[in-house]
Amino acid sequence: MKKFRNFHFHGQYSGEKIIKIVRRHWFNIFQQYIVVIAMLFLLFISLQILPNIFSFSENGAELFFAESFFAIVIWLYIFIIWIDFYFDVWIITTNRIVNIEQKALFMRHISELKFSKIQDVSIEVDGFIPTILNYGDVHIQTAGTRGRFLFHKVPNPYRLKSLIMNMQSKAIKKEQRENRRKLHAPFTQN
Amino acid sequence: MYVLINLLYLVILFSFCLVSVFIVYHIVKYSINKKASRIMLFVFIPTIIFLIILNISLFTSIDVEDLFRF
Repeated sequence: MKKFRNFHFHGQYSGEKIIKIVRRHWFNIFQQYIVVIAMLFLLFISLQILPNIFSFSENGAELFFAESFFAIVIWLYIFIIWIDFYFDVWIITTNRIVNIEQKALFMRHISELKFSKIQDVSIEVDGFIPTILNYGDVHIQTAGTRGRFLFHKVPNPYRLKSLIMNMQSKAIKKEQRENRRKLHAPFTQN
Repeated sequence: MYVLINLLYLVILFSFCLVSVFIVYHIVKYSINKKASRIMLFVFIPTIIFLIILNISLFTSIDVEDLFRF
């Protein structure tokens, strides 16, 4: 837990400690960055090819203007993808699981789930690459009406499942202890 | 024509600046790790400022009248 001492999220209770921070697997962001790599390749290739096709002024200002314009688009796109990846996060704390879902720049959903509400945890590793790289979805079935809670394309889903199950059994034991104490409290007072 | 192109360029430049401001806002406001956010701001801000200034200087050096002369 020392590892997350510098981490703090909005809505964190006092005394609540972060146990694990889960983001999507790196392969997910890599898939999106393939487009960026292709765009960068196009940027450098066009520097070689375009002067042979079109005639530019002596200083080539038009060509460099177009290139720098394209470079701005790529730079902004790199960060939009990074924000979508980095801010899409599942935080496992000592009390609950907090899901912060970031979709591009203008959509953000935050939901939370108490460990005692968890009924079942299942894993879905679907396909050749997820099996090789060990990533997949972790579904959490809850007792409430909200239904399922999903960890999408997260690394090491098996270890994550055992961590959640472990936290759930601890939370249930704690809840049972508190209930027993509440039941016995009137008798002990007399 | 010259005015129209200038106007169009200003609109695009403004949208670039707006997206940049939104990116910085997200990094500052929503980051759960302040150290990582500082590094990303340090990478993003100087580069985008450099690229935009470079783009403006290259745009001003283009002779737009000459570009559309056939």
